Amino acid sequence: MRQITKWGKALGIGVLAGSVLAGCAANEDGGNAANGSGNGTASDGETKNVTLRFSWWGSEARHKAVLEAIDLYMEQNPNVTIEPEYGGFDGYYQKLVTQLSGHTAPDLTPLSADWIDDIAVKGNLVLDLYTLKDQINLEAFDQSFLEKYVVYDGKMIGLPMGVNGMVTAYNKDFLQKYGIPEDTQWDWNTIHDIGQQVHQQDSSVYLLGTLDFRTFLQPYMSQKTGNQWINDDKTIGFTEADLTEAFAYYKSLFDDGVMQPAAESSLYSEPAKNVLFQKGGIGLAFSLASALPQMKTYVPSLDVASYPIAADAKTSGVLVVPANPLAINKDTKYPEEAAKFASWLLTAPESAAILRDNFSVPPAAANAQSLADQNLIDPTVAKAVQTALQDPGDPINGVSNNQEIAKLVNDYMQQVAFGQSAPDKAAKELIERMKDKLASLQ
Amino acid sequence: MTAGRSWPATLFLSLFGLAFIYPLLWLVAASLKPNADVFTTIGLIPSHIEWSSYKQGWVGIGRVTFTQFFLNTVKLVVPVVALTALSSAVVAYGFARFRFPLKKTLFSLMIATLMLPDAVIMIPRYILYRNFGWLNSYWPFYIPALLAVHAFFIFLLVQFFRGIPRELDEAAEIDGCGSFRTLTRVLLPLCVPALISVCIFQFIWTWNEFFNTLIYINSVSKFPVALGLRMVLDNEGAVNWNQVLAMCVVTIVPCVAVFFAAQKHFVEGIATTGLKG
Amino acid sequence: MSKQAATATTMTTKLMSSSRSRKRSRQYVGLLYISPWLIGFLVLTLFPFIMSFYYSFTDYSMIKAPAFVGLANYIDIFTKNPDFANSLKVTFLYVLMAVPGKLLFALLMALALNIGIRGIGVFRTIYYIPSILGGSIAVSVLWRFLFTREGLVNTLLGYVSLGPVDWLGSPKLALFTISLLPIWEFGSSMVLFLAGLKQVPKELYEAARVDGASRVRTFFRVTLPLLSPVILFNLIMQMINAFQQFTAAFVITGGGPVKSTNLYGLLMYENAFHYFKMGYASALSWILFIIIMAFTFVLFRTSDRWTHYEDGGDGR
Repeated sequence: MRQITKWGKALGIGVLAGSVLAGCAANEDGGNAANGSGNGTASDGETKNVTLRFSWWGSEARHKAVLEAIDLYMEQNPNVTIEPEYGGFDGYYQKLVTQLSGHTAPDLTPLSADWIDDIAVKGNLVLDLYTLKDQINLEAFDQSFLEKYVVYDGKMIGLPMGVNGMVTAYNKDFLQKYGIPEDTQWDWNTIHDIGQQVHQQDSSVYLLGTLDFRTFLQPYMSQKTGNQWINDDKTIGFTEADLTEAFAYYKSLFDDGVMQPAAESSLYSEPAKNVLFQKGGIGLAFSLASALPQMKTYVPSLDVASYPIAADAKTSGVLVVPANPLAINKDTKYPEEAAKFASWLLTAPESAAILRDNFSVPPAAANAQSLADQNLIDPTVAKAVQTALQDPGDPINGVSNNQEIAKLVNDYMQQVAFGQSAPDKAAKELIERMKDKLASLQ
Repeated sequence: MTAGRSWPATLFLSLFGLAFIYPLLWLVAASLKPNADVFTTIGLIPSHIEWSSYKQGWVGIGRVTFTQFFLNTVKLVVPVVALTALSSAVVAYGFARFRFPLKKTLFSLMIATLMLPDAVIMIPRYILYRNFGWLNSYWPFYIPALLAVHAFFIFLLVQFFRGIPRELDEAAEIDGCGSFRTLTRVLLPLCVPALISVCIFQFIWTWNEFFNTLIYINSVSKFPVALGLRMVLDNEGAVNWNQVLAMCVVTIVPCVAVFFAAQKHFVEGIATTGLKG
Repeated sequence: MSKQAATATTMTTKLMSSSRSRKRSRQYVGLLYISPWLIGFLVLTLFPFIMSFYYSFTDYSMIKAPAFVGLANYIDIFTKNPDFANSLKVTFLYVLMAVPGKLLFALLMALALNIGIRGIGVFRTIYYIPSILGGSIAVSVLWRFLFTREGLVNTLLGYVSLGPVDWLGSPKLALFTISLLPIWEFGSSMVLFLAGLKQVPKELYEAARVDGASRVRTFFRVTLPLLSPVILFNLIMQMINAFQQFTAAFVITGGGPVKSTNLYGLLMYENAFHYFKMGYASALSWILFIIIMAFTFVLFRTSDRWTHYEDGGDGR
C-alpha cells in the first residue's frame, strides 16, 4: 500500500513530468507565443477566412470537451471555422481510408497506432509536421517522447494527443474478497497460480476475462525474446518453440480456470463491456490508461499496478503510446492554419483545461502538471500513465502494428482459447501464415 | 370451416404470435426500465417507468440530437421514395407495354441485376460517385433512385402491369390519349396498391440503410437515424443500455407506423405482384 | 377498388366498339420509357461490374493506383487463405439453415392462417412486423440482447433450471443463433404464400374432396403444385439474399467466435473496407457472384420438373 491515491494524483504527475517529459515543464507560456492563438500574431491568417475539418472518435464526454475547445478556438480566431466530424471508433478507419482515397478526408484526424504504418508510413498521406515547426509549439512536448513515438523515417506524422500506457487494472474489492494482497508483484507465474486458487475458491469468478494480441501475446513474447513481434527486416522476432510455449501458457490459463471460458467472454470486445467484469466477478484486466474511466463506471474500486513483467524478461514489453497522434492530411488547403490549431489544441493551457484527460494525460508536461494540481485529471488515469512510464518497453515498430497480422494472431489465439487448435499446431500455422503475409507486404 | 375447428387454431396462432412479437414488446419494455433491470428482468412491466432513457438517448452525440438525425432521414428518404416510385413506374411501363429492339435481352439483364451481389459493384461505384463529387451528400441515394437502379421495383410493377388487360390502354389510346397520358390516367390509378408497396418497401429499406450511408455520409450533421443509432451504440462511453434500447425503439417506430398506416395496400400489393414470379 | 373496377368496365366497353387498326411502331417510345433504367444500368451497374472484374486482377489499395497482378488474387484465395474455405462453409451452412427454415415456417404459417379463422388480418400483421425491420441495426442489437449470455433467452431458461447456454459465444451454436434471425423474419415470404393460396381455385379443392382425397393428399397434389412458382420465386430471392448476408453477423458477433459466423459477406467486407485490398475483395466478390449464378441456374433448370404454371408460364 505504498501507492496511495493522493500520491498518484499529485506526485505521480510530477514524476511523469519530471522524468519522461523532462525539460519542458518550465515552458508553459511558450505555447501562446508560438501558436498564434490569441492576439494577432498570425497577421496574414486574420484576413482570410479558413475552414478546417477536424475529425475524431471517442466517447460522449470526449466529444463534448473537444467541441468546447473548438468553440474557444474559433472565438479567439474569428477567421477560422472548425467543422467537427466525430463518431465512434468502429468503422472510423474504414471511413478515413475511403475518404483519403477520395481526397475528401478531413484536414485533421487522430491516427490509431495500428494505422500509422498503412496511412502515414507506407501511404504517405499525412504531412511531416517538422515542415510546419514554425506553427507548432514543439517545445511544449518532450523531444525524446516525440522521437520515440511519432517520428517515423525522420518525419513527424502527428502530434501526440496524450500519453497513454498499458497497466494491470484490478478490482480492489475482488482482491480483498479472495485474500490477494494489493501489492502483489504480478508476473505470469503469479497470475497463473493466484488465478487458479481464486477459481478453486469460487467457481463463478475468474482472475482474468479476455486477453488478446496487444494486451498479452505481443508483450509476453517481447519479454521473452527482447525482440519486436516482427523485426524491422520483416523476419519474425521469435521461434516456433517460443510461440508454442506462449500458446501453451495461454491455454493453461483456460484449463486451470484462471481465465473466463472463451465462450462466455468472446462477445465482449473490451474488458469494460464484459458483464462478469461489470458485476465484479473478474479481478484483473490489462488495459490502456485511456480506457480506465469507462471501466471505473462499473467498478469504482479500480486501481492500477504495473503490467506483468516476467522475472527474466529481456525487456519490459510495457506498451506506451502517444494516445493517437493528431495528423494533418496532405490534401489540406491550409497546412499552416491546421498546424496552428493542432498546436493550440494540444499545448495551450486553456485547451488542456477543457480537454482534461479525455485523451489520457495531456502530452504537454506543464499542462499535465497543472491539471493534476487542480485535481482535474482522473487520479487512476494519472497513476496508470505514471506506472507505465516507469519501465516502458520499446515502441512497437510499424510492421508489428500491421492490422492484418494482428488479426491473424487474434484468430489463432481464439483457436487456442476454444481448444480448436493445440498450441504447437497453432504456432506452426500462425508462423506460416505470417510469413505469407510478410512476403506480400514487400 | 366450422367454429369448432378454428378455435384451437386461433389459440395456437395467438400463442405463437405472442412468442414472435415478444422480443419486440420486450424491447419497448426494456427501454423504459431502469438500466440495472435491462438484463435481469424479463417481464414486460417495468418496476418503474424511466422516460429518462428516451430523454437522454435523444440528446444524441456531441451536439447533434436525434431531431437532426430524423430531419436528415426525412431529407434522404422522401426524395428517394418518390423518385423510385416515379422512375420504376415509367420504366416498368416501357417494359410491359412496348416493343423495342433487344427488349428480351434488356429485360433479362434487368432481372439479372436482382441477383447481382452488391459487393461486386460497391467499390467501383464509390469511385464513380467520388469523381462526380457526390460524397458526403445524398446524391448517391437520389440518383440511383431516379435511374431506377432497384430492379426489384421495376419487376414488381411490370408484373402488375401485365395483370392489367392490355385492352384498357389500347382503348385509352383510341380515345386520343398519348402513351404517357395512358400511363398516368389509366394504368397508374389501377396500380396504386403496387405503387404503395413500392413506396413502403423503399421507405423501409432506405430508412434502415446503414452500410451505404456509412460509406457516403461523413458529417455527423448529415447522419440519418440508422447511423445515429450506430453511433450511440458504438460510442465507447455508451454504457446505458436502456438508452440504446430506447433509441432502437425510436428508430423502429416510423417503419412500423408506416407499415400499419398502409398495411392494406401493402399486403394487396405484394399479393398481386409477387405472385407470378 | 370499386372505382377502379368501374373504370375497367367502361374501358372494356369502349374497346368492344373499336378496332385494333392503330398499330404503330412504338419502338423508340418504349426505349424512351426505359431510358432512365438503361442509363442507370450502363453507368451505375454495368460499368462498375466490368471495373470490378478488372480490379480482381489487380492489387488495388485505393490509396495507390491499381497494379495488374494477373491471377495472383485468385491463386492466393484458393491456395493460401484458409479463411476463404471457412467462410464458404459457414455461408453454405447459413444458407441451408436460414432459407429452408424461413420458407418452411412461412409456408406452414400461411397454411395455418388460410383455414379461414377470424382475425386473419391481425395475425398476418403480427407475423409480418419482424420482417419489415429486417435490415435494421436495431433488430441486430435486439438479437444480441436476447441471446447474449446474460440475455433474455437464458433468463427464461433459468426459470426452468436450464442453461445458461452460450448462444452466441459457442462456435457450435453461434451460426445457428444468427440463422434464427431471418427465420424470425418469415413474414414477407408468408404473405406471398398466403396470396398464392388465395389464388388456388376453390373448385380444385371441391374436386379433390369429391374424389375422396385426404387433406394431406390434397395438399401435395393440389396446393403444393399450384404454389410452386411462388416457392421458386421465394427460394431464389431468399437464397441470393442469404448468400450476401452481412449486417446481422457483423453487428451481433462480428464473425466470431473463432470465425464460426464469418459469413462470406464479412470476409469481403474485411478485405475491402478493413484492409482496403480492393483487388482481392473484387476477386472474392466475383467468386461469390459465380456461386450465386450457379445455384440460381440449377434452381431454374430443375424447376421445370417441380414448378407448375397455370398459364404455361411466362417463365422469366
